[in-house]
Amino acid sequence: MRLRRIEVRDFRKLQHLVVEGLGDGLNVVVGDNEAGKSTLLAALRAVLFERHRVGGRAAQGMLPFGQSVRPEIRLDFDLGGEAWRLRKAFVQKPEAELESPRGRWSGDEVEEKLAELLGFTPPGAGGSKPGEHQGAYGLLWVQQGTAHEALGVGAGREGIAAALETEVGQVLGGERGRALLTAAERRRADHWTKLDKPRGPWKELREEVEELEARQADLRRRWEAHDGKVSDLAARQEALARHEREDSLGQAQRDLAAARVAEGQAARLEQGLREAEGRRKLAAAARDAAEGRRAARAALVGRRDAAARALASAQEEAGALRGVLEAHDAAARGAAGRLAEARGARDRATERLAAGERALRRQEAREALGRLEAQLRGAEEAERRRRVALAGAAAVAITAAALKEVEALAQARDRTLARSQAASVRIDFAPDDGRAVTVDGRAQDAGAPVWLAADAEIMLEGFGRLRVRPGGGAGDLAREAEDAGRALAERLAALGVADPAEARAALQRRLACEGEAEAQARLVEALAPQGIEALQAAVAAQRSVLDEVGDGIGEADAAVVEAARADLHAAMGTVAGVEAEAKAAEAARVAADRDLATLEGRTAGLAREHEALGAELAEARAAVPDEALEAALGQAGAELLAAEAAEGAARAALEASDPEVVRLEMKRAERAEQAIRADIDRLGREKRDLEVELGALGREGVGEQLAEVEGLLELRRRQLGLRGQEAAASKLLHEALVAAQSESKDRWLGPVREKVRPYLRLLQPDTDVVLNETTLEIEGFRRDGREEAFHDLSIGAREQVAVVTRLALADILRGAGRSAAVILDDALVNTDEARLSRMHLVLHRAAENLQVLVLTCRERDFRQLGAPLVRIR
Amino acid sequence: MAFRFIHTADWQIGKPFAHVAGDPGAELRSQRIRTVQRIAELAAEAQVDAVLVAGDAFDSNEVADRTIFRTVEALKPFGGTWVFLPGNHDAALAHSVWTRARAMGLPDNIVIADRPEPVDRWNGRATVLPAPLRRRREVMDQTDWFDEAPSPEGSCRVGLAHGSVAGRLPDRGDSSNEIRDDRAERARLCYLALGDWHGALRIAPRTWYAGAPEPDRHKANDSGHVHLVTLDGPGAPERVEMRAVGHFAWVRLEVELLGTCDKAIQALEALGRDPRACVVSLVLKGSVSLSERDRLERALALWEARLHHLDADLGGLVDDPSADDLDALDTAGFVRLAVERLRARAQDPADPEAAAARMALRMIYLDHLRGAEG
Ligand SMILES: [Mn+2]
Repeated sequence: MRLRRIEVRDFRKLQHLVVEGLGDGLNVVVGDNEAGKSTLLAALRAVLFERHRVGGRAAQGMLPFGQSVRPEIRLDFDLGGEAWRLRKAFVQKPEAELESPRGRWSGDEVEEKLAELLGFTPPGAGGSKPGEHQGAYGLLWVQQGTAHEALGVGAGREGIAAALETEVGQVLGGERGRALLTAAERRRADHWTKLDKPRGPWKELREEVEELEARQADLRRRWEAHDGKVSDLAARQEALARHEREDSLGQAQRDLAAARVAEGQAARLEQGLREAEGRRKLAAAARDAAEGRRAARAALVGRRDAAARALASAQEEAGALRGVLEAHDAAARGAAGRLAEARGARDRATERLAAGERALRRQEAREALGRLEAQLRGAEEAERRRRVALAGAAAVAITAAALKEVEALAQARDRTLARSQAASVRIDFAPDDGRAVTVDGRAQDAGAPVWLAADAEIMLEGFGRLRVRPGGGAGDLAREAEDAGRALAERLAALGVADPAEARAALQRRLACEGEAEAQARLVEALAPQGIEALQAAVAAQRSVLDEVGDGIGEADAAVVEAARADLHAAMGTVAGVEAEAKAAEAARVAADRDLATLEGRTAGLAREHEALGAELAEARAAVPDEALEAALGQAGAELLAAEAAEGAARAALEASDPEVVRLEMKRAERAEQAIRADIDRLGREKRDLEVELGALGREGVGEQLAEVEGLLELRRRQLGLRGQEAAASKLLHEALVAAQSESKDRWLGPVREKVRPYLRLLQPDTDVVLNETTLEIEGFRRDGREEAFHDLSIGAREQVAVVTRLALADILRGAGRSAAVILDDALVNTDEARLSRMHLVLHRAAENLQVLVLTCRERDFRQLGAPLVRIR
Repeated sequence: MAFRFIHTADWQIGKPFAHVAGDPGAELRSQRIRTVQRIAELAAEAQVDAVLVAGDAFDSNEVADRTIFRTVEALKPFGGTWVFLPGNHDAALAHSVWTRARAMGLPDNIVIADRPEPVDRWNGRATVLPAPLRRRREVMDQTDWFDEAPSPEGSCRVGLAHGSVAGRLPDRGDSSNEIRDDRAERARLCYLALGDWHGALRIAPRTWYAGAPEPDRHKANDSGHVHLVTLDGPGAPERVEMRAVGHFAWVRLEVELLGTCDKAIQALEALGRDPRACVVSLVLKGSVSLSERDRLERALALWEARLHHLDADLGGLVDDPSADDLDALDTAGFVRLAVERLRARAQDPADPEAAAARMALRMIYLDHLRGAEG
């Protein structure tokens, strides 16, 4: 669309204005605000978009202030290669006319034709609003003071979208696509929550499957438990049947009964043994008692006899003691008389001894001298004899060894002679009185035997001759004896003695002389222990002592003194003896007297005891005679033997019955019976319990329920599988649609970016405009790769970006065959000079393809633009 | 005089069908008991001598008391002898559904064959030799004793066992509860009534599986019947009639789609039975465009209401947005960008979110359609 001529009459402040000669490209319309520059834009909108019949505020808004006129607007424009003329009059007699080379329309037809031509939606009633009713013209015709605001795409979106679709294809899918997306969203929402969790029937199905699985598990558990219980029941039944089949309880009971019988027998045997034992013990006690009684009787007799003996002996002793007492009395009297005599004799002897002793001391001195002298003499004589004996001993040649040799030879001779005699014949003679015997002509003493070793002839008187021939060997032995005799004789001759006896005698002599010499030597030593010379000196000394004593009165007689001393001694001895005698006699008498008294007391006691025992014994015997005691003892002994025999028999019987075996068997049988009975009871109880339990389970029909749940579960699982697929598919579908839509939007806005870029390059390189793909409004501005929100930009930048975007969108509409003029009413008032010149380049570039009307009050700003200028007044 | 009986097994009363939610599941459960009642009525009509239940009458030993009670109630129409054999699901354990049933007090005509002892209740005409399982898995062949089991002269010997016949059944890896394939021969049986295999099957001479009377799984085998057996005498061949008693048809449909969903809808339309009695497992594979997928889902919602139960497994069905789909999206701009990207991911087998991307495309496609509609 290209505007060519605009004529306005009675529209707001414009009484009449004509703008003509508008070119294809850039046109500048200069006029200050008072001149009605912006009213011109309003008139343009009114003629195109307001219905000519519009009333109310929209109509009132067209009238000049306070006037009632008929606003009228004429517009000539080119569209689709044809020239169009449009005229509308408002308020009073509203009119509309549209004319083109191909036709002419008037009235309401005009409105329809315009909407069709320009692609807008006229309002149902009231005034037309740019954003709602004017299609792309709401976007492309910028009113003064709004250039820096949002584009206000509004109803223009459809047209642009359509234009974009012709450019990039049907990327967004249109209404149908949105409906499918909505359906897919709903499908997805049927299955998924916003957080992608299952929901709705799908979720319920999942829950039902879970619940069924739980029920199935529970039922299966119960079913298996049921199965196990059936097996348990079978085991119980089998065990019970086995008990019955084997009659195990009956067997046990029979065993037990037999064991009880055996046990009863054993108990009786044991009881019998105990009784026999008791009887044996009783018999033993009875026997012991009888024995005790007999022993007691014997003891009583013994005590009585002992008492009798003791009494007799005591009486005898007492008699003896009385004799003794009398003797002691007499002895005591005699001793007193002798004591007086002895004391007289002792006094006299004392006098005699004193006289004799005085004489004797002299005598003793003399005698001591005489004794020493005799001693000396004796010693000298002994010395002499010792020397003689030593000479005698020396005279004998035979020694003890020589004698031994001789005796050995003599023994040899005697031995050989004896052997010779043993081998010889001994002949004893017993002649009749007086008859003689000669042997080999020699007379023979008939009383002595004759030994014949060789043949001999014996002449027996009165008888004749008798020749004797001794047997073998006698002759040799006789010769041996002769040789031995010769050896002896030769030795004797050598010693100078006749026979062994003489040799022994000579040796005796020699030994005697040696003994004599020794004896004399000992005598000398006894007499003169200090030697003979010392003795001689002692003699000399005594002589001198006697010489000193001299002679006294009277001649002392030692015998008399000694007799007197002996007398005194004897008399004193007598006195002492008699005194002791008297004392002893008295003591003996007192002791005898005491002993007698004691003995007599004892005798009396013994007599009483004897009497009592005798009485006791008599009494006992009167009660039970000795014979009866004996008889009782015999009887008890016999009974004990019988009882012992009976006990032995009972014990043997008990042992024969083997009570240990009986006891063990009894225990076993009891336990077995109990165990089997308990087992049967337990089995029966368990069987009943199981039957009850199974009966209860049967009523519920667990198996049936399980099969049912399993079938249902299978069905639900299948359904769940389908539902799951649906859920997955719904999600997949929605995601696919959303992804496709998002990508499409990217492509969708591609052309806008393409168109904006050349303008922006002129204004500021490396920048981009970010549009909302749905509203097509500007969202931001990308500079050096950084995006800034549109409303954060400076006001100047905002109006520049907005103008550039509008130009780009107009380009796109043109590309789709919907070429529309762009009108900018003081759209760049906030742009500095430098930018403004760049914007001039932008406008020029846009004007190459578009018709651009710049309405401005600043002529200066656009004088250099190089575009035709139209001034309005 | 002939001996006539019904051979059935594998009722598995108490099986929960919990994967079928709500009322249809409850209906499946209660139908099993109604089918038992149907068997009782059939037995009364046919005036048989006995009904032999060859194991797994109950789904487990742990079914509810009320389930046992209701089952015993359902037996009432037939007053003749019922012989129940404990199978692996309801093995004669120490405590089992059988001990519990006995504790509730059972009528005299119900025999629980939980011991390997001959059952002779027909005046010597027949002797039933049961091989109860007393554990869930027996290692020894429980029918060994049949060979030496005594029976009166002229009596028809009928074996009753639960397990797999050695080496004859497919899909049987384990070797527990095995039964010799020549047991009928060795034990001179007129008929060996077996349970455990849910389809009706003559597996060896005189050796039969009756199959489950009420189907309970999507397996292409012949279940839903009982055997009405007539034995004319020890030497005579057995006469076996199959009688349908099952109510629900368990149908498994596997359809491979290429671009459009027509084949799936055609398969459902071709069921040829009262849809209310059909339990359908529909497994779809292949790929469809988004518009076809939308159509398919609307159709399945319809069939879900029509059938007793529809279990549609679309796990193997891949969305293959066609150019038309994307054109229909009629989008430009970012939506097209998103769709192109999702499509690239959906088509990249290495992308872990390929499936989610496919679903996302389906979603935006549906959103778009709904937007267009309203
Ligand atoms: Mn089984």
